[in-house]
Amino acid sequence: MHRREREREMSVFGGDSWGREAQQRKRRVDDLLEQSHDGTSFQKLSSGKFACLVCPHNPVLDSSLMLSMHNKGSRHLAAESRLKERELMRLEEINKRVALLDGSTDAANSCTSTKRFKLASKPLIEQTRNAASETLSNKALLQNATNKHRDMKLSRGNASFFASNSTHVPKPRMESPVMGAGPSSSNDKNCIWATEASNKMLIQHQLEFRERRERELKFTAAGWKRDGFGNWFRDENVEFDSDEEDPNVSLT
Amino acid sequence: MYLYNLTLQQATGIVCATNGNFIGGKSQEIIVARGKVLDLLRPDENGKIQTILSVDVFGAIRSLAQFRLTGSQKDYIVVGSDSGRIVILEYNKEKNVFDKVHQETFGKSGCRRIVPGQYLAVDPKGRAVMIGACEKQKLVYVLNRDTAARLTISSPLEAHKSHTIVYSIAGVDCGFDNPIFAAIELDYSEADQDSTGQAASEAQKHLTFYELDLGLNHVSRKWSEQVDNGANMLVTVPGGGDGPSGVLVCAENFVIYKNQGHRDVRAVIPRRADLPAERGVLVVSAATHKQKSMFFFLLQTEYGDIFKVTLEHENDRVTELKIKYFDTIPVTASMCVLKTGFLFAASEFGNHALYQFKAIGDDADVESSSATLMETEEGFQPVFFQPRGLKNLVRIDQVESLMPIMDMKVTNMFEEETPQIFTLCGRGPRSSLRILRPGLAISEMAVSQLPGIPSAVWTVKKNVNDEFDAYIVVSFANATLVLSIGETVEEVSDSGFLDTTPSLAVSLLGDDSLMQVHPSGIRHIREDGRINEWKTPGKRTIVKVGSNRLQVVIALSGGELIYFEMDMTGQLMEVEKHEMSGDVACLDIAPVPEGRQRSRFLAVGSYDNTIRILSLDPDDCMQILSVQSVSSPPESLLLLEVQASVGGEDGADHPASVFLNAGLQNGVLFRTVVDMVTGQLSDTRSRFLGLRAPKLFSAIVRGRRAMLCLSSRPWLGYIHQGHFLLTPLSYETLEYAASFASDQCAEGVVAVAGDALRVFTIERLGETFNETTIPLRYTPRKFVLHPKRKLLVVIESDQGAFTAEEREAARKECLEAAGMGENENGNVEPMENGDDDEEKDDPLSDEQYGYPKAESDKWVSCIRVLDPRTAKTTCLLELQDMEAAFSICTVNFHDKEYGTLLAVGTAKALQFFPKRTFAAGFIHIYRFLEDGKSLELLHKTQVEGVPLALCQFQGRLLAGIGPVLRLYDLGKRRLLRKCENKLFPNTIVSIHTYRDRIYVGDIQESFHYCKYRRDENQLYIFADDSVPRWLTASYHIDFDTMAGADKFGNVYFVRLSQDVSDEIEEDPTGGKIKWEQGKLNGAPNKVEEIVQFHVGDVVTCLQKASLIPGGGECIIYGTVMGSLGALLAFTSREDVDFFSHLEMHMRQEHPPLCGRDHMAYRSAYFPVKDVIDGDLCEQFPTLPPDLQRKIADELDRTPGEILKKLEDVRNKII
Repeated sequence: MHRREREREMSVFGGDSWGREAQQRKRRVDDLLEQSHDGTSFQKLSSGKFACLVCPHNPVLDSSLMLSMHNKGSRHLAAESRLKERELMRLEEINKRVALLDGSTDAANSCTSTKRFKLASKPLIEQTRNAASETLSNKALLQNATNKHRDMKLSRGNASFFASNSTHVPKPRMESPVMGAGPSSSNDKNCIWATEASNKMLIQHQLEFRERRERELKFTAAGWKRDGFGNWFRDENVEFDSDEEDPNVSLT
Repeated sequence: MYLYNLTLQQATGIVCATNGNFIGGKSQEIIVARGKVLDLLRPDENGKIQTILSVDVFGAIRSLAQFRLTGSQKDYIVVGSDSGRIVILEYNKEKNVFDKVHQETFGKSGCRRIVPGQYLAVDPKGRAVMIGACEKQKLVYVLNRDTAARLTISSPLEAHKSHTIVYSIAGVDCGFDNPIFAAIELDYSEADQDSTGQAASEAQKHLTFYELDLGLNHVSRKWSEQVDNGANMLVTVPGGGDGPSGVLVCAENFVIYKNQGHRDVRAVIPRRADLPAERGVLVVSAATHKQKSMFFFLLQTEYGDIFKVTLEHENDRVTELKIKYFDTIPVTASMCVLKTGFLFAASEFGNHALYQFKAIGDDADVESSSATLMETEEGFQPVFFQPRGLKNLVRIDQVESLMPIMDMKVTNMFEEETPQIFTLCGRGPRSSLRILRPGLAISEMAVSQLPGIPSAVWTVKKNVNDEFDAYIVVSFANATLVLSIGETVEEVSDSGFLDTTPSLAVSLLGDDSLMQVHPSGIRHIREDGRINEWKTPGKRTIVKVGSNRLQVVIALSGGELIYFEMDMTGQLMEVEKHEMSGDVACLDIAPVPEGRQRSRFLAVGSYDNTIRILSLDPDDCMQILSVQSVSSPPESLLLLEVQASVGGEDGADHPASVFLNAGLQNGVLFRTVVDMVTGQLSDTRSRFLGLRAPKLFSAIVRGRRAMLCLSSRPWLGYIHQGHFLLTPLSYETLEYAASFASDQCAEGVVAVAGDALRVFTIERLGETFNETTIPLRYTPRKFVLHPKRKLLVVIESDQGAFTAEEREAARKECLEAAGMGENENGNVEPMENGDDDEEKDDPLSDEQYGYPKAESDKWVSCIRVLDPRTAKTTCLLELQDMEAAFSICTVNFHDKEYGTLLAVGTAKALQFFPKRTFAAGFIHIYRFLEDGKSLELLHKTQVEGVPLALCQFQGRLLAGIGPVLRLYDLGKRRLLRKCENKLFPNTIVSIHTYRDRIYVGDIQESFHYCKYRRDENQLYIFADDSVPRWLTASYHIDFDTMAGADKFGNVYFVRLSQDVSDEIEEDPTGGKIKWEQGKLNGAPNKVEEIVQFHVGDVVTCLQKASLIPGGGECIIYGTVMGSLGALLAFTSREDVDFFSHLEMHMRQEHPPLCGRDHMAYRSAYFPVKDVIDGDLCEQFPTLPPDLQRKIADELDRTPGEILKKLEDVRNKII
């Protein structure tokens, strides 16, 4: 009672309060509308507008109504199907790796798996690595294997990323037959599922990563350099033996 | 970090020397200056050089002269140093010190162009002394004596001439006319003004006479005349009735007699036949011998040949100057002809020698004379000669010298108790590898096998007044063997000793009777053969004995002590019994003090870890005076009496005192002072000697009582120049020992070890190291240890010499020419220098005569693999084609099949004059074959500079090539350049690595810290020094710290501050190190100097090592002058305070002898930082007692405590 009175006093519309009620009603409708949308496909911005996360150029839409209109558009639908396809591929990959590992993973060391990979006493690098592995296990993100500039690029499923680096990213093993996997749209379900599986996978992943990095370092130390396309070439100031290994051959 | 600097071995090289009669009387002594040390030497009656006194003067001694006032019997010493002062010293025989008679200040301190000190000349009649600088200034001091016949010195008279360079000065002997000084001078005032250089090329040296007018008290230029531009030295010619007066001017190829109003008399110096024509002959040292009727000069050339120069004269007119070949000895810095018929040759490099004159060169030999001097169109006709073996001189002693130490490594290669110091010493054919071991050298006189394993040995005299021992008594497990000492040592049975039982003690009793103590009794053998036997009561046996000449104490099993004394009739009488609480572990009685009836103290050690002092006085006999508890049961006791001393030749002042020494079962030697009156114990010191419980024996060293301690190795405790020194002996483990005196060796030791009886003497007391010498072929440059095989790889190189084959050919020719061809047997190994036996059938050893000289761009060099155990060279590769090796390292290339390889950096045809040039630089890679015993060249890689530094780094080779730091990988045919950094300022001379850091030493800009980034394949310099240091040695201390030494004689430590270091290490993106830039082309970060100390001698090598087992590590350094020192880090603040205060008081109370301020000396180039000078602190015992007490009072301690502290800190180092 009191609150309402106070609200009334504070109302900008004068004595009648129908406008406020109408506003609230509208918001409620909006909320309901929003719920009907897939929570991961858009983001509500601080301005109250909506950004579509599915479409590659992330269009910003003024209201949820417009968002729902957009979601029915052909362009959005095409983008959505592409995304789903990729998601499927990722799940498939995860499942495959889980299958490759023996199932005896206890939950206890799953959370400490990264600790065992303490490579050096470099706190910053370790932080980065921790963050990276967390992201890896929780989100549908891929890691850039080149790591040339010491920062791990995160991709949000943008296709262009793959395009530029495809030459030196280890080829995902997609040759195996597709295993049945439902559309994993819900985040939390995925997470529980992944922590168990990610343990062994991560180890393997990181070992591979290190090994590869060590080999690359050996080549850089031996005087090989890279061009913008990731191809290796010989530094003109460095001398090479006649039978020296060529990273362009041995690293692909 | 605070460090304590201690010189472990004084410099062994000699800068200058002079001889005279400093002690007084008839003896002849030699004063030598070894950089900062002034030594007084004397050849003893056996012709061995003995050091009488050695004083550290904390200043650079540059010149020495000696003079004598007319009518006086004793010579004074004048010292020219870097102190800006002239100092006149007199040797004080009573106190064995140099007394400073006069010290006159004339200029700034330091070795400067125009501050005198470089040259000294005295008037032959001792009336004046001239002290000169290299340039401009010369001062003359008039010397006189006052009414009390004390030496007086006037204020200085100036004989300056600006714009002149002085080459040499000498006093002219003109009898009792006004004193005249001669100088070779060069006026450069015109050359300075003339930029075309014409005046410089026409500059002319002059011989100038300065006359000191004693009447007017004024110095004037009296006469000046041109001399050869090659003139370098003046030698005074006797005058005033003894000779023609004037001077000999030694110039390139000539010796010229010159005097005012006299025509020049010139003679050519004979040349070696094999000398290249463009090389001149210069005289480098001279000595004059003068007797009443004759005089002659000995001049030595730069090749080592000595010429005898004589003058034919009629009164003052010299008619002929003759130069006759005399002999050849190694090149000297100074020669001294002693009136006693000796020649002391202070070698420029390598061992010094004492020669005796066999003849004075009167026999016919190659001679050049002024009368036969022929001038042709090409100049004067040369005279040639062939060097030959010594004819006029015979070497009777040599003094070892490490100078110069080129490189050093401390390692325990032989797996002994203490590490060995491997040093590369010497130059040219006289170079050597010397293995130094801490400890006194001993010389073994005899070793003889015994029939069983002996348990103990004693020596005994027949009469107290005998000089030599009569018997050696050896005890076995169940028998006793008596050996009589005579011409030979043989077993005797008529000695009266019981030989069917083991012995516990054998000694002289009373004046002339002998005593044998065995487990069941005491046997007293009287002089006339009567035997008294005392039997133990009941079934008890004697376990321990303590005795001196008049008293015997025995301990029976169960702990009963029985005390016997000798009565007036010579009978041994039981005096007192005493029951101890338990078994007695050991006993000792001090010797009977002179003029007394008995010794007052008995020391008893028990198994309950205590030592008791019991009284032997009749009043309170067997009363316990004091008890000392120790850490472990005592095994052996020795009461050592130190006689009172008031200085003299071997010691400083100290009162008489008694020390109780105890060897404990845990290997510790425990020393404590026994109060002479009350028997109280005080001032305890202990030192770990070895793994076995030390057994203590008394011995005689230099006529004084000393102590032998036999632990896992033998030690000798003795007093040397006021210090109690406890030094290991370089000998094997001994079981039991006794002093030994016979006519063959007056102060020997007889000892048993295993089943052998050994007789040896201890040599060269006071020295810290004894050395084993392995000769090398050329000047050694560097060496590395083969990590696994215990082999050394040495690189040697010499400039201006012929290769071995060329030498061999030339030598054959020369021998044939000299008609000595028949001597040559085909199988002599001419490649190696003999060590020190000149008698071998090598008539012309290179060591003696030097290598024949070649053009200066000719280099000879070799790489040698040496097994130090057998002193055998297992592989020697001579480099061909004028290549010379300069750097060496072992390297393991990653994932390559060869294992450890050897990298050697060489330069071809390197020349330094007129400009540094070379034909090429190379890096050779060798592979070890036959267990590392030989080498095979894998390949060599040409580089564009001289590789002066090589180092392994992450499975690759880092090389410093001129100013470039380069990383090489091993290729099939050559090294592959992988990465480089060209940003170093001058020339890289040292590289050290640790993890991914690289510490690069630049020849003149100190250290640069670098990092190698693998991901970028780049070398980054991230820190450097702000001080331009001319690096001569470097050592890696820890991750952030480097120790270095510069060519001005400083040692310093630099450290990268912790935060900078962390920042560098935690730079994950690597952007900082890449983009950060320093100012003025420097690195972005600077290292801080944390330690700085002026050693006063060029340090050539640094290493961290521990010289005692279980001791802390210290930095050991070796210097050009052949000294070794250590820098020890203090562990407690308290010690730092104590020693810095002691140092401060010593600076005040005991200023250095040559007038250089100690603090200024140690801060000569940079202010001294956090280093305490132990050499100064160790002069504390040489102070007079009242001064010692005064300093001790100010430190709130007793002098004894200070001595103990000094001893403690020394014991931590060595």
